[in-house]
This record gives sequence, structure tokens and C-alpha cells, in this order.
Amino acid sequence: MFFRNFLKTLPAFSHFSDGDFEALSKAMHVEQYPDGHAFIRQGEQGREMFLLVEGEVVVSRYDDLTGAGQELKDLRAGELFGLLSLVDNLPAAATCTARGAVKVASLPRTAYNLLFQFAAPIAYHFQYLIAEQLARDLYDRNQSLRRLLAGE
Amino acid sequence: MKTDVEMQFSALAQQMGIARAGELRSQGTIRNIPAGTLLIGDGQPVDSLYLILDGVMSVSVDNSGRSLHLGRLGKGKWIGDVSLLSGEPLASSGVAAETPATLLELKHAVFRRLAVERPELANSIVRALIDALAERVRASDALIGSNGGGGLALEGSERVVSLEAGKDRGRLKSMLQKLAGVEAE
Repeated sequence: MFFRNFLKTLPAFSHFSDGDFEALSKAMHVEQYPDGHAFIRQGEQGREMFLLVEGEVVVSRYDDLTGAGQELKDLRAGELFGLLSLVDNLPAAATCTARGAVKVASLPRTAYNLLFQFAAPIAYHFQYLIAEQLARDLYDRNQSLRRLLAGE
Repeated sequence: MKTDVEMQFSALAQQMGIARAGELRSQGTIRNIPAGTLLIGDGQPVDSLYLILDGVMSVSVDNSGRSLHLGRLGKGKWIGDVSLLSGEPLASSGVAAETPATLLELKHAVFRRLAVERPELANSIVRALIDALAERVRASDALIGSNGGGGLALEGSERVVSLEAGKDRGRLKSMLQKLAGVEAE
């Protein structure tokens, strides 16, 4: 019940119906994870999609040659991560690690694939959710570029 | 012989099916614009999604009096998708016609109506946009990571914009093009 109510508070899920919330909350598994837990490792095939419920997750990328790491983004509650590897079936492009204790909901790839392939309202809502998150990710990058241009 | 526009619709029909491609065409408006037309002003409101059927569109970012030409978009590419899906009403880059161009314009309001009345058609568009967005996000992540934060410089369309000490101008420009979600020239 807690997780279903949490989903209802998120703007990204505003177009979901009560039935969608019911199905999604049953398909996702909510768990507490300790500081430093790596949900996704760069270069490995993603097996789940995640939704940050509480706490903070850091997205980092490591240079393949030098091994030098760079933090790309801090995720906040309500953000999805782990999408790319599930969308294009390629290895993860970044590492996602818990900063402090976090609560995260996960959706297994099998459930993701079902939601992504079904021609049903919940699948349409889910796919729109994925597109929205990817668009926001790109928008953030464009804003970074704008700040670079301003010399900030 | 098929025109470029008909060829592009054939490609669209292969992607989403003949019926849906035809319906998309009927829901939108074909626009022919001359070279030099400013389609989307950087930072200005965007209320349409565009599919490029023919021609080349030029993408740039402007800020604080600085202008940076990022690259070009050609046939089969979408414009206005980030604004539609991110919920940000203002464009994050400007788009102008570099050559005479033919576009299919679909108003954001029409897309939202289709999402309610014709969810299968709207979903076909969303599926196409997801693939394109994923490709652009992955490319930008790779370039940001491999760049390692080194000091670089880039050349704008009207002036050189120096951000930090320059080492690899071409690489940063490529990174910025990917960041903006456009193809390299």
C-alpha cells in the first residue's frame, strides 16, 4: 500500500489508472539497500529497471582506458534509472550506486519486456513513462550545454 | 518514381505499419519551408512535433549572446520531441532550415488528443521516439565519460567560445553535438 501510494504522488505517473498502479506495485519489489550498493555496473547487461523511493543514488561513468571516474548525476526520489540497457539491450553506460541507505523499487527485465511489448493501456502508459524519463535526461544535458556556453 | 517525401513515408510505414503511417499523415500538416526559415527559436515556446520528410535542418544553442552551431538533422529525424515529452515548454535549442525542407507537423495538442482517442497510433510514435532518445542519451553518456572533464574549447558559428584551456576542439564539439541530441556534421 505504501508503494502504491508513493507512485500516486509522482507527477511522472499522473496518467496511470488505479488498475495500472495496482499492477505495477505488484510487479515491482521494494527493498532497503546499504550505502555503496551498486544497482548497475557500467559495461554489464542490465537485468532490472529501478525507481528510487527514498535516499540518493549517484550515477558515475568510468573511462575505459584510464579508469578515471566522473559523477554525472545525483538521482532523487521518484526518478527511474537502469532504462537504457533494457531499451536497447546493450551493456549499461554508467554505474549507479547508493549514497547512504536507500529504498529502491525494482522491476525485473521479464516484467519490463512484457510491459514494453503488450498492446494494452498499461503498456502504453509505461512506455510513455520511459520516453518522458529519456527526454528529461536529454533536456538536462542540453541545459548543461547552455550553462557551458554562458561560462558558468 | 517516388519522391523523397513518399520514400520517407514508406520508411515510416515499415516502422509503424501502413495504416498508422497514413493516419499520422492525415493527423498532421505537411509544411514546405524555404532555406533560412527559423522553425524553432532557442528558448522559445515549442508546441509542435516535426518529422523531417526532406531537407536538412540546422541546430544551434544560444546563450548570453553566444551562438553555437551544433549540427544538422536530416530525413527521418524528429524535432520537438524533447519538449513534448520532458514537459518543458521552451526549446533547449534552435532549429532552422539549412535547405528547403518538407516537414510533417503534428501539434503537441493533437498528439495529446491522439494519446486519449487513438492510443495505438500515439504509442507507435512514442516507440519511435524512445529508440531515438535512447540512442542520443547513450551517445552523450559515452562522450561525457570519455571526455574526463579535460579543459577544451569550441568554435561557435559566429565567434570562438573559449570555455577552458583548449586541448581537443573537435572532440568537445562532437560531445556538444551529441549532448544536444543531433548528428555530427
